[in-house]
Amino acid sequence: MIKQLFFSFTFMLVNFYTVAQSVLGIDISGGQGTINWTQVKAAGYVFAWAKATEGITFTDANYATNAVNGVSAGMYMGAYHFARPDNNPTTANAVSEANNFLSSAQTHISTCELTPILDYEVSPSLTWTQQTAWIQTWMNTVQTATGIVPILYTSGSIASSLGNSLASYCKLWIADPDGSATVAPGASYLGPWNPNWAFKQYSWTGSVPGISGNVDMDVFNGTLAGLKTLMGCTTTPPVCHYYYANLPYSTSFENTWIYDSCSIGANRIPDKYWKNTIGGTTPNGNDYWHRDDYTGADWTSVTTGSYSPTGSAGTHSAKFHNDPPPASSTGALDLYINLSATGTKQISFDYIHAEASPSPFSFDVMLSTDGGSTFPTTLRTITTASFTTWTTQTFTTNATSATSVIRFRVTDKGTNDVGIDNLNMATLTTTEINQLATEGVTVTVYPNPNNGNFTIKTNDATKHIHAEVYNQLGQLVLSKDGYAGEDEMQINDLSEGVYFVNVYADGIKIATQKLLVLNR
Amino acid sequence: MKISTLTFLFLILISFKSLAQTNTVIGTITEVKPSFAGEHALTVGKENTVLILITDLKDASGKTFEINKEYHNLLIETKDKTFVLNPKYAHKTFEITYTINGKGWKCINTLKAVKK
Repeated sequence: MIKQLFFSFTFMLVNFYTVAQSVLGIDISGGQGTINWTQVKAAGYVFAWAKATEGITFTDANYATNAVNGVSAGMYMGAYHFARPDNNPTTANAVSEANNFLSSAQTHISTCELTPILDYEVSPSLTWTQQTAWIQTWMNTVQTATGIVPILYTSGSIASSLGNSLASYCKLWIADPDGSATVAPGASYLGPWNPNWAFKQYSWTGSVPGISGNVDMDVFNGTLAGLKTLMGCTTTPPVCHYYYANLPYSTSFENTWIYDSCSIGANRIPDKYWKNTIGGTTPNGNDYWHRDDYTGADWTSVTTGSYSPTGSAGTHSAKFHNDPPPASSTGALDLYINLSATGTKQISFDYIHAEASPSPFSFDVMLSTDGGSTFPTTLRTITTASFTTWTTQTFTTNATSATSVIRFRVTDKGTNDVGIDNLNMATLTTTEINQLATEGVTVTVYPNPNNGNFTIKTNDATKHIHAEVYNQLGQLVLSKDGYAGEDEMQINDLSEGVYFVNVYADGIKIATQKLLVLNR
Repeated sequence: MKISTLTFLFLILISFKSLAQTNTVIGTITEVKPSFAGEHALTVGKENTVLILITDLKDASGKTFEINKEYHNLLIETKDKTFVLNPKYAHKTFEITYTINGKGWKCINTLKAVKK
């Protein structure tokens, strides 16, 4: 027994040394049950792949839980797909398998997370050329959807037999369970990838705190900084893992909200691009946004002040609830979003707050362009009006920061809850921008009826006015441009009849007016 | 690090080992064939459950396996360097425990001969 303990201690010391020296990770599947990711992280493991899918239809029931909880614990998490070319041998099947993978894993895939994996280990009745094409097809499909080139996991014998083209396309995670995290795989294992390999699976029988049973052990071929570079981390990610969504971004808050690892815990954010913050001078447990059906103990009297319907799109919305309403009760829900694309960005969402003049009350949509450090710009403020039904709020920003944060902040002493839903953010096209620019421009055509002479007048002299007059047969009878800087123009000498006048402002049609010419 | 701390960590390791989600299948081994990365796949029982036999890395010969010691010779190597079921275990009914690993394989932990 003493001898056994000695060897165990020695093993642990060696293991600790190895953890300290190498960038180590693991790979797991749903069959390993519930995993305590906090313990895994505390033991020094940096990254983990979780099985997401297999073949065309199978999904790992524990994948989403592992992906979310692993990230929450501070792990770099990735997803892998177990390829079944033995059952699905065609390249069309490879596309179907990739789509199965994307349907489960795509929402968890981003830069600065562990690269997606194709786990290729079964032996189909295909030539090596056909297998290479199958793998390449799967990879291409995932790359097109995510912008990330997946990594191939396979054995030495398979890697050595695949086409050279794959080796120049994707990186290799090699199965080489020799028990050593420090010995590089032999050249014969790497085939056309030699001497390059990204990850090595060095054991199938490891022990890791937080996971029951044997664990697959992996090591990255490089430093932690190298791993971050491989994953596309441009800056050191904050401890709580902020992610920036890309445009277009939309949500109707239907999904189960996920754990907010930043500071507050609990399931308080719609997806990984959000952060739930409080900012009031007297915050209490109720000063938080949640999905409307949240039933946690930190929301009390949730039916008091609720709005109906609970969603404007789908069945759920994001709701700010406070009870009792202390003075200056404030909560904020922050969306981290990349606005670096050129052009005007439009933000729209539906809003509800059925309460007249609570005091104080303010709903603010604020903009940060420095990753949430400061919010110098307020994009929209609602202070007094009661919105008893869902009302769409639309506005724009020309911000171009890749580290922008849109904050939805409520300061409320009132009784009724505040809801937002159907959030959409996108870069506007030129046509859409022009349409926006002409919103609010009004047109008056007078007199009507007239004797063939009339005036077209707008309320905006900055817009270039253009008019086209059509007869009842749809024939263009007159086309005229207004003078720059003038808000009206005269049209004369139309003969008797019924006409339709189309009026354009800066090239966008803003009105069609029926016109009657009499008694010339 | 104090010995008491090491002992505590050791006990934690042991506890996790004992909490492993172990599954059981009973039957004869009907087929042995090469599996991924040099391991071996055993087909067991009427349900044709495919179990993976992991090579014991502590034996440099690569001819013994990560199972209880009395069955380390469960497979034997033939002249053509392939592994087959040791004839003395043919038609023998086993109770085999296994756990699922990170790749979803059913990895054999222990074998125990049982009477039919």
